[in-house]
Amino acid sequence: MSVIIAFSMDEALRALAAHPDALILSGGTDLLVEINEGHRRLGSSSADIATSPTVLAVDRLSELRSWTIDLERSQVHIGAGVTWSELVSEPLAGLIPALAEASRTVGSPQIRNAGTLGGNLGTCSPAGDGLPVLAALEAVVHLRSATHQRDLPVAEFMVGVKRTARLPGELITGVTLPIINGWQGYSKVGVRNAMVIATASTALVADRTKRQIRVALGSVGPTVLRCSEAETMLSAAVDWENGGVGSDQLREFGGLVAAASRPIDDHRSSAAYRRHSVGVMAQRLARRAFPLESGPPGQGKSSGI
Amino acid sequence: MNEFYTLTVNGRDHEIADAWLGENLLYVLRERLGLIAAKGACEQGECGSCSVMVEDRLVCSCLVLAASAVGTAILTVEGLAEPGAPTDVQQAFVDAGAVQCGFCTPGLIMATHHLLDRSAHPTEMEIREELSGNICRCTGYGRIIEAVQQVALARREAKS
Amino acid sequence: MAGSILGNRVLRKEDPKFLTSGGVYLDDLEDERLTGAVYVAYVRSQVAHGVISSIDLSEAVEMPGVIGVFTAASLNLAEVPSAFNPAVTRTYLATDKVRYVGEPVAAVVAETYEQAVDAAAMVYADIDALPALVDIEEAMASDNLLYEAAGSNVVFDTTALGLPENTGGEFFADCEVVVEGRFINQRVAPCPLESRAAAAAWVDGRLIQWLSTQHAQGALATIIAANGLEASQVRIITPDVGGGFGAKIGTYPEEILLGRLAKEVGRPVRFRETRSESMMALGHGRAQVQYVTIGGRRDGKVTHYRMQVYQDAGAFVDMGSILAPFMTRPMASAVYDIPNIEVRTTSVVTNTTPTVAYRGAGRPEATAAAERAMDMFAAEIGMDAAEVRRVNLIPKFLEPHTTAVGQTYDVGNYEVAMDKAMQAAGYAELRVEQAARRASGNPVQIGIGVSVYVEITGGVQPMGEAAKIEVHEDGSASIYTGTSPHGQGHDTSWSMIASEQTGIPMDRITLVWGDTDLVPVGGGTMGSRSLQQGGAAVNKAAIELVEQARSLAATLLEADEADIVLDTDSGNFHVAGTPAVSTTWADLAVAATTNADFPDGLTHETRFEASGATFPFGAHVAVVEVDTETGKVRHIRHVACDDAGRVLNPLLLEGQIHGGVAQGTAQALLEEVRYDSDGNPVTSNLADYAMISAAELPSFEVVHMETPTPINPLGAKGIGESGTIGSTPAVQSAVVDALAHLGVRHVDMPTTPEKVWKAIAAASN
Repeated sequence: MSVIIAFSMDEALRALAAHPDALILSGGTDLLVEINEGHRRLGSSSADIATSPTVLAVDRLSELRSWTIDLERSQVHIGAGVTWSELVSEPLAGLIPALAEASRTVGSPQIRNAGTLGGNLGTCSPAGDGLPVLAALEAVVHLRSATHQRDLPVAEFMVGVKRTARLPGELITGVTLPIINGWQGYSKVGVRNAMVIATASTALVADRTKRQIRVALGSVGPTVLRCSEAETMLSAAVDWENGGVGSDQLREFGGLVAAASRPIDDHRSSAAYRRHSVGVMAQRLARRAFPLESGPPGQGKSSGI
Repeated sequence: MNEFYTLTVNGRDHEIADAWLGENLLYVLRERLGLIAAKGACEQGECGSCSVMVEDRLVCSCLVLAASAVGTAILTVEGLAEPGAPTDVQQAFVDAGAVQCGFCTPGLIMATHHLLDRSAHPTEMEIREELSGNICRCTGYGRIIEAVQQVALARREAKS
Repeated sequence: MAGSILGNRVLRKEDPKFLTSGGVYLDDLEDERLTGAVYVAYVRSQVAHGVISSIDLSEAVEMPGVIGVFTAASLNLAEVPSAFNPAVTRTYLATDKVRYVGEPVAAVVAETYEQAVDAAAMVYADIDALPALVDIEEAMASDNLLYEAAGSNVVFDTTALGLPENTGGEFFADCEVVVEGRFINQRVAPCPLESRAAAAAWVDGRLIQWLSTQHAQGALATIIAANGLEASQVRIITPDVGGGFGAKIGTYPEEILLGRLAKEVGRPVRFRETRSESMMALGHGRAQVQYVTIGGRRDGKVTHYRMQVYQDAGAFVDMGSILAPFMTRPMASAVYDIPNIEVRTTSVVTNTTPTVAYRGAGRPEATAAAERAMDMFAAEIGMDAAEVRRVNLIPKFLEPHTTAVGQTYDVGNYEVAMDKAMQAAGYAELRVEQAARRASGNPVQIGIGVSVYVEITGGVQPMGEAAKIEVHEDGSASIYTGTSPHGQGHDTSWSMIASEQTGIPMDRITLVWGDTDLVPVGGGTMGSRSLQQGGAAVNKAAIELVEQARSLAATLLEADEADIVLDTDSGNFHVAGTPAVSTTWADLAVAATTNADFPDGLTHETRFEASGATFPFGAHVAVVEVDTETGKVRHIRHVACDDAGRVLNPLLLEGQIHGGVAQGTAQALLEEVRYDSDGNPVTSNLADYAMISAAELPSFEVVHMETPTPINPLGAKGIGESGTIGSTPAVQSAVVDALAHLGVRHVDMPTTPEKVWKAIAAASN
């Protein structure tokens, strides 16, 4: 039983090889809550020391705490240890605005200063704010162990409620995201203005190059959901040249997004409200992406909202 | 590393011995180092009463695994000022009437320093947003916002 | 001579330590009497309602560090009846039955806190679950009884006080318009930031107990009784208290048992609770279902008003059960002149955390009901809600006024308060803006809510308070008060009052409170009583002390007592017209030590008895934006005009108003304690229970108004709870108002996005 602070990737991977089930500690905003609540007793005087887990602290790894911009390939690599606060700042905020928007809604400044994108992936809560954005951007997750490394599309990485494809001994090192040509945004509803866990959330990406709308939803299913029918419908309905879409199409799109959600009733919200709200958020995001009212009636009119 | 480690708090090194490894930084500050200004009120990063700076980042000390904070510079409200010489933020809290029961106050002082060190001209909305992780049950926040605005103004005037 | 300090914005003396080294709250306390203290953790029921068949301690006692594990049986705990219904009894650790999730079942004492917590998890209570009663009305009708000896889940009813039952439909026979509503005044958690902690030590046969309390002297009686001791054998000490809001008035089983446990293990003991324990076991507030009927004429005059209140007592008959009959009912008429009123309140036990007083304690519920009823009446007759209020307000009165429920108010000037608040808010312009927003079809609509309120403060026995002032030989002074500050700034206020009368500088005055050896008698701080009774007592003590000092000064200065004057600027006594011939408080204190007339030195104790309660009033205007598509509410403006009588220190006054408005807004918009159908709490931490943050609130616009009360020489009424009482209905009303054009007449609190969305959907169907 120990806390291992890794100062290099090598150290981290070696430690993980020796302790494949080590608890990986980055910002601590999820793991420490569990420890504090007594769900995980680390080396407590009364717990069985031999079976209590090893904690591997990876927050000093410069490889995880950095990001690189590759303009040639139009992509950004973000280390798993990059914090929400860093994601809200330039230049990342300008390159991946939806992720910045999502990051701004995470917890409080204290939480954003500590919590990381990698932690969001590792925990894989359906309410994780970064995850719908990663899904809508079709990000790739990078995993490494002492013996191998592999890349997984984020949709394959997220398996279920707090379940991922990460294998024992593997470390999430980062994600690669495309820098897209087009609008992207994130929206969530919850009870408070700040410090709020998403009751439902929606990310929308309008990829002009591929002429493709992509939508991903949080907190309305066991993990983040994509809405293929809605995406196909809206991709075909929008005016890519002028940035417009008709209100009727928007409503149809909202309906399809709502229909794609698979929410449950829980103590935070009813399924019905969650379904309704992702529909509203999707329409609003799409309107922000395509501000012009196009198609009959009122072609070319600005929407006023 | 496991049961003995050193933490650097308010510029001084402290040996931590016989620690339980699940101890968070708040626990170590309070129970082992006798630094009681940071308070615990939620154990899950929701209330901000335990806010401290770790390497110039405002964090909830209840969410920092103490043993993993080795080698970082930790600053608590006790390390902000010499006795009798309050910081401009501390003084502004008195002047504005921003303290009531006092339980959340040390965390708010840290959060306010953090905010004003990074943003010289915070709008009211920005102040409210930046302090949203520090719950105060007594004041309704009005006087706290006023204190922050007073310091921001005074710092700008001192510069010009 | 400089002007009076009273009424000035004086900065708080208390602040420096809170800002630098931090306050010393109970869990921060170091005290040599607690050397070697061990920790107590309670095993809590995880079942809401059930019969305990056995409690297995065998694994827990083997856990490392465990000194003892105790149950009601092993401690031989007696049944303790409720103070409000003797048929309802409980033991401080559950014996035959558990009645809510979180109820203490056993106590573990171990060397460290962690060991105690770990061992508590190894105590297994075998409980045969009974159906849990979570809903008040269901509990009332059920023959599944929480307390069989009580014969009913109804544990307190106004009819048992000899008050009449409500009549039938004929009550409203003369009304042109009758509107009915069912309003939920939801259960909320007081959430002081400092959760409970306590400690106990036996020193030379005496029990010393440290409590985080609003009323040490009240706790004293409970602790004495629980330990079977004489009054002289117990001392309660109160360190800094991190907020109370009513929930720390009473003393809880977890605290009461510490003396017993310390005795059992022969060591001092300490207790602290986690936030989730606090959310389950610290008393909750509000928790009423109100059936309200309002009737009157189409010209806006309300003539008849009826309330049937169901008060959720939770799983015991604690203070919450008597708030409806003794606080809500008397205030049913609110600020309105309604000739015919009938009220019945019924308190019911349920399998939930017991309810207690929470900031406002019964008055917010009365106000919320009246204000919602007025709004619905206005909507029914198509009149502006503010205009309907104007028609019905009790006209200005400076002599006592008695309402149709028999409650007498001291002074009132409600219409002016409403006008001031509406003017500051720019009510007419807001209505224009609202109309424009509606016309635009914008999904984000504006709502404006007006509330006018009156409440009762200082209305609970004892309606008086003692104060003692002791002048020391260095000329400094100590004030002993039976009030119990936990954020209100009594050190500053009481020093201001004493300094005003004595001329002793504020910074040379120390406040002593919350220690029953030093202040054996006191009413504590609750019900907004402190300034009007405790402050008035300090004022009286200071005036009388000056008189005594004058006679001593006359002796010292060899002058006629009638010629001695006190210069309150310098704090010196001198012969009138001859300032050079003077003596100081220090001189007098020294002289008193050898003067037979002053056996206790230069000290004076007195008591102020109030002739009655006071009735602060005011008006609030709230403005909200409501997103009609998502249901999201933003509170964008809040104007508060609160008349608390003569103001001692506007800095402290406004702090109370601000805090109250935030808490009241929190109830309107966000906060609610909820249980699932099995009685499991689902809001037991601060992630699931949404305490209000700075980001949910606007800047508060405070409008000044002072109508002094004749009840005390300071002219002061309470201000601790007014903000909470006025704000909740204003904000709730604003939310409903934003949706009025969609046909919505009512949205229950908290007006969460989901509730707003559902209300819109229901209205459009």
